[in-house]
Amino acid sequence: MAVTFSGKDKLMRFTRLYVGGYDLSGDSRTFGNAQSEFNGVDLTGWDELVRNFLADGWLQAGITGYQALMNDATGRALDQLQLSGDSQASQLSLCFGGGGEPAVGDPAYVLSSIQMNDLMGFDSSAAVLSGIDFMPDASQLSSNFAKVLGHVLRGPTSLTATLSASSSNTVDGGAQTTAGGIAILHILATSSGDFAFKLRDSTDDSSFADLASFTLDGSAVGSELITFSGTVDQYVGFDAQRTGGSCTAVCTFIRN
Amino acid sequence: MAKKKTKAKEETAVRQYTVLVACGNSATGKEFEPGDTVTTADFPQKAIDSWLVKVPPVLEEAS
Repeated sequence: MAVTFSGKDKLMRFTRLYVGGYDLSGDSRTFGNAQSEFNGVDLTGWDELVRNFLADGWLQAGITGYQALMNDATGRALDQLQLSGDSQASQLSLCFGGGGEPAVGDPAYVLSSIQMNDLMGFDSSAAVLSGIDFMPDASQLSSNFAKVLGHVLRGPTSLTATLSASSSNTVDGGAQTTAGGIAILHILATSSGDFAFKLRDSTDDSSFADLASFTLDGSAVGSELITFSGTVDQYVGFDAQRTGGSCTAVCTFIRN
Repeated sequence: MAKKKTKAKEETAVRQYTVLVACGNSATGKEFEPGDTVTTADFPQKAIDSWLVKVPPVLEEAS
């Protein structure tokens, strides 16, 4: 059967932030708000005592108030966050580990492209990058960007062998959907990794067909967004066919 | 009588499907690439029926 979700055990300690293939969790202190909301359009008339409204249909997305330690080592917070969105792979996955490192089935907050602003500040005990906002970059958004909340399909564990999509590593979406989705792959580390990464979906958690394929092959640190339209079957799994080497890959997925 | 036998044969013939999107059965470990032919011996009929109408389709009936 597909993985089961672990419940009320999501702690900040096991929250992980991946930006463009880099794990910034060790430098992260906190964030204010992971937005996923609609504003209301007021429909209240003169004689109504309770305000009536409709959602305006525009999704407010983005992470505000993120704080990180000012670590300027290669690949760490300052080194990565000083880069503008268009000079690096700018996908973001915020993964909420359940009692441990994020694993398949855990919730994820995903931005398929980001622009950011950051303020540098100092508090009494640490140099921090304070008040960073990660917002969707409209110029880079795909037409399939419709939601920000999804699931982890692969946690940050080293891949040293082929991993085939099967009932042990799928997420159960409850039913087939027809509006496609997106997925982001982060390659966090590699040792001559040579893989073919893809998503597969299934109606019965046993018979799998290719849903979408990544271009990244695990040979270098980086991240990639893929989008797909059409039918997405009830079960979706991450599939990594190994040719050689090893790598650490994280995959997040949103069903529209 | 001979006609009846022929009809019965046709009815029990195994339907074949051409693979359009790479697929596999994790229970048996069998993998299939586009252009391969599969039958209900490879996948359950329910999965095949779903794949025929999926967008984009995974299988089509072999001619």
